[in-house]
Amino acid sequence: MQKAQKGSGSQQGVSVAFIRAKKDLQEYEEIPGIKIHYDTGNPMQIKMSVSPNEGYYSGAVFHFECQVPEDYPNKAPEFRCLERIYHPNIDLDGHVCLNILRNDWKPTLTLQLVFAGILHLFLHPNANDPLNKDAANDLSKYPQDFTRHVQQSMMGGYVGEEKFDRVA
Amino acid sequence: MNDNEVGNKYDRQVRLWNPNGQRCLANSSMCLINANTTASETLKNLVLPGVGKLVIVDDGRQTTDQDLASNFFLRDNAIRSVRAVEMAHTLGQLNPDVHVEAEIRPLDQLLDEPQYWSQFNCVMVSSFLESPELHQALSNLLWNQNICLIEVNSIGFYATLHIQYKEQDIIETHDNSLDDLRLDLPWPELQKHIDSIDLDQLDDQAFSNVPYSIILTKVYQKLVSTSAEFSRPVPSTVRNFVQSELRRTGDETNLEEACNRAILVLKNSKEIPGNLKEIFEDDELDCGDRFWVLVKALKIFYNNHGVLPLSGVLPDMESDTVNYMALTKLYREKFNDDKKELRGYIEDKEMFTDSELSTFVKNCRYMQVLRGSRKLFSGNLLVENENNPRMIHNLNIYVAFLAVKSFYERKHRFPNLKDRAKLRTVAISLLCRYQNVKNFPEGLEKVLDEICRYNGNEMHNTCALIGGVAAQEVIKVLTNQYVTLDNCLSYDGVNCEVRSWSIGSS
Amino acid sequence: MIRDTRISTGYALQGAGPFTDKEYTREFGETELGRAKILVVGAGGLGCEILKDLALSSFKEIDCIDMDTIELSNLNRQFLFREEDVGKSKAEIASRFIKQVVKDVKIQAHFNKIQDFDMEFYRQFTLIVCGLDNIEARSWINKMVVDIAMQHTQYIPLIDGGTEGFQGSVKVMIPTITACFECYKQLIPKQTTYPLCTLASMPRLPEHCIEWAHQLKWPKLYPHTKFDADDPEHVTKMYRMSLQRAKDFGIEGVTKAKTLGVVKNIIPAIASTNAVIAAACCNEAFKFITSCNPNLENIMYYNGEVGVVLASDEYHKLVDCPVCGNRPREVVITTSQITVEQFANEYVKVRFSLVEPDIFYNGGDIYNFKNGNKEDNRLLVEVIPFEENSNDGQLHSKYQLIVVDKSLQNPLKLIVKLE
Repeated sequence: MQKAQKGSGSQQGVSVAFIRAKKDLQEYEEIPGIKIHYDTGNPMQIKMSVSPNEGYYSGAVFHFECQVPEDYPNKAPEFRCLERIYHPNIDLDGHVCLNILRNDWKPTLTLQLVFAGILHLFLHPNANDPLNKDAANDLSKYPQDFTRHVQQSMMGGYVGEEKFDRVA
Repeated sequence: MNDNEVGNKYDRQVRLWNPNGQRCLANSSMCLINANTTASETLKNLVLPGVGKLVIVDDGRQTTDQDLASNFFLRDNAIRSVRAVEMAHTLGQLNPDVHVEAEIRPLDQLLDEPQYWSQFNCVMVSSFLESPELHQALSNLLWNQNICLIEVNSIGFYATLHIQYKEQDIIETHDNSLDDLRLDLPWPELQKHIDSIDLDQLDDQAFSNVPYSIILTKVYQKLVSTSAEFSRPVPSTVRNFVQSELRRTGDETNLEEACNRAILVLKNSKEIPGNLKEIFEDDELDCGDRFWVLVKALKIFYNNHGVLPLSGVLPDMESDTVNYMALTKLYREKFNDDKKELRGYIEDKEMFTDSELSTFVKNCRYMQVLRGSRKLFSGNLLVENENNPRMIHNLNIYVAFLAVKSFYERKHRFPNLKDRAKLRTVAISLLCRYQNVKNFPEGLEKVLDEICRYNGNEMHNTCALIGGVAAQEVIKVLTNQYVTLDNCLSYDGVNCEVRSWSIGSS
Repeated sequence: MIRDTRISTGYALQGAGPFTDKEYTREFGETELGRAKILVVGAGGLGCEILKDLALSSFKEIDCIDMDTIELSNLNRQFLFREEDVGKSKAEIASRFIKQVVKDVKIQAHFNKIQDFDMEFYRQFTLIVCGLDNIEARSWINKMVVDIAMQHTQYIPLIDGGTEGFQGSVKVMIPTITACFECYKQLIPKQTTYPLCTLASMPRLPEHCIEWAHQLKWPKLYPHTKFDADDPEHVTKMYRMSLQRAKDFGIEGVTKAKTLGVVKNIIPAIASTNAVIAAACCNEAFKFITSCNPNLENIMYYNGEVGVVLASDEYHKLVDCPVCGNRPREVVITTSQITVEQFANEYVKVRFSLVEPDIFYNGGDIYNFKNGNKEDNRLLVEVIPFEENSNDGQLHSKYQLIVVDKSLQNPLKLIVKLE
């Protein structure tokens, strides 16, 4: 068996995914309420913070990690919320349920659009796609409780049995 | 698929033909006449998936340099040994579950014993037989015993394949449109369930969990009831209704699904495919064979209800677990009721197991009955396809093989480059037998010239390809699943094309 | 006595037939066949067939790469392996088997990932045949041959076979000249995905229960153990979790087979389809190398579910293909004293009328106008590597530089030439 000689594979040019991520980021136009940080040498890992200026979640800051997959843009980028938050479409582990990140992903979508999609989730949480069932139920049936629970959770308090991270 | 079979060596194929298909393969027996490369490449694809028994008939011929040049399953040291024995040995090593043996008695002797052939489920001949009489005898014998005969030939970049069977009755055609929603014709229990859901009373969240089939049925019934006389609503009307009358927050994915599937309202549950109508009128309906007993029961069911039994297949729909499971339960119960009723129409109640009946009910809409023929060619094909040059080209390849066969039967050797003129003469006299063929088909000469270049020799890639196709057709015949070729094709490795056609019995 | 495959292939090579290019000669066909060096990527279901078919097509030098080891479930189609080979390298066992049967073929096995090798390695081959089961590896090889064509004007055809159940396809791709694998990507059906909220709160299908266990439950329960679908113990655990989930929701149909099928994304595979697709690949390779007959126009489709369908079709290059869409432009600098900033501004931004370009290569960033690089007075030749080009003897940048910018539909690829 012949072992690999030059081992690294760096001879190969830059991957399609890498170039596309670079392009998306180069064309990114600032969205009010969103800040992104990344190492220009590694556009595949992006840190994002979301500060909604209206709605249930206004006044808080939420941090996300975005991982651009190797077969981007054929596959959607992956997001994870770093704080434990009370949100119908984000579970306690930080998974995000957003249609354009799954079934409705298309290679023509860009990072700009999915960033905006995440912000949209905070401005208009959607009770029909529950990832946190209790939160979705509250939002749909007891909107006033929901508002109160959001406030409590953002202060780092409890909702029911669960304790949440302080984000306000 | 049984859980003990997980991760076993047949895992990847059982996912295609299920454990019942795999059992059919294991219990099957197949005969291959002529131990050339086409045969060994076909056999490999039958040994690997586990066809129980394979017998090679080859008149005790010895391995030559020509054999070694293209046959992977003959080793260097097989030279001048009996090639069927050598091939059976190397192929047998591929799968310990399979028994591969060489039959060294000559074919003409075996043809004198009709009972010898009854052990086989399928027989394949992988090159021309020495005489037309032998071919006739084999074909007669198998036709009478209703055993499938596959004839394959391969020279240079060309190959042909012809399947002779009296009748193929296929229930599991693996048609992927088994969904059977009955939007236009809900049975009473389903109607009751639909009526119990009052969309106006539901809050937004509950509303967004109503499966689209219920929404479409409600819209369908609403539109039918408001029109003066019965007319089936069209999808665009349904979509408009959903958008204008039902939309609430705009986030309802179930409504989106309903709009995307609105075309389903056009599906008439009472309509059955044309070929099923023909099957219901078939002469064999009362013959008492297992398959026809099922068909007869199905026909009674259809005549009583105007619809087929419910397939029980429900697609996934945006909904919550409770709503969806309630729907699943209704469909499953109806499926079981229909199956039970169908069993009632079969005299011998023990004739079929529950799983056999389930398979039948689930797939009956798309079952197929294929009737073969014993004719090797029909001049009509050349006339009908006059304006289709690609088809004519592939028909030319088939005609060229018929000419080579005729040449071979006369001279006991294959045509080479020096025989080009002779082969053309043979082809012309062959075509003259078909009265409706007026002209020498366009491009036939080139095809004849190409085939002469190989002196009857096999090229490995062509054998491997046609061997793959042949094995696949054998597997379809043995498992009685998917749809067997009806009934002839030619392969052109120069242009990488196959064309197939049916040679009818009339 | 030794096997001579040319007794069979010789008929095709002896002279021009009725469909052969008129300039064909026997000498040409035989010489090209004799000196061709073929790379086979993948020694699985297709790979075993491909190796056999190439060896019996009289190819004399073949290399084979596969990073996988043999599994029991391979044996229903990968006929060069036996039960006692389970756990060993596919590339090595397959190559050894072929050598035993066809003695005059030189086969070199590489128990490696394709990414272990560099451009120089791939440049030694005349033609590459791929029998892979995943898109990532195909894309990687495709980009490699396109880059080789763009940087070295060396055109290594890529013949790609793929199968799924009774269906398959063959693509013949001449880098930068015909459609490349990336151009075909839009034809690939989207993989089934389930919305997370369905998995989390409203499962309906057995698949939902399995994916819930796979994506949500496992990482939570075993945060430090990555799920391994090849570990039977892991699979059993996953199956139990899925089954429990299904029971909780009253869903039927979770079996071990289904669990494995979902978590491993198992694609059904049978010997016969592999045989057809591999043979078609090797037939095209043989015709391409020898010119004894014409090649198929771009792509062949196979479907054996209903009768037999095998048809070829034309497929055109995508104008804006991210891989083969535009050739690299040459930027000539006449002195090695040019700074990075000068280069970025004068030779890239101004020359190509860009707005605020980002310039980088596989070794890292070079200059980014948007994120406001400060003055960069380093010399370009000290920042990116150069090498002597074999065609013109001049110094060329060793790698392509990539430029992205608002004003560019497609990224710009640059080769810097120092004269």
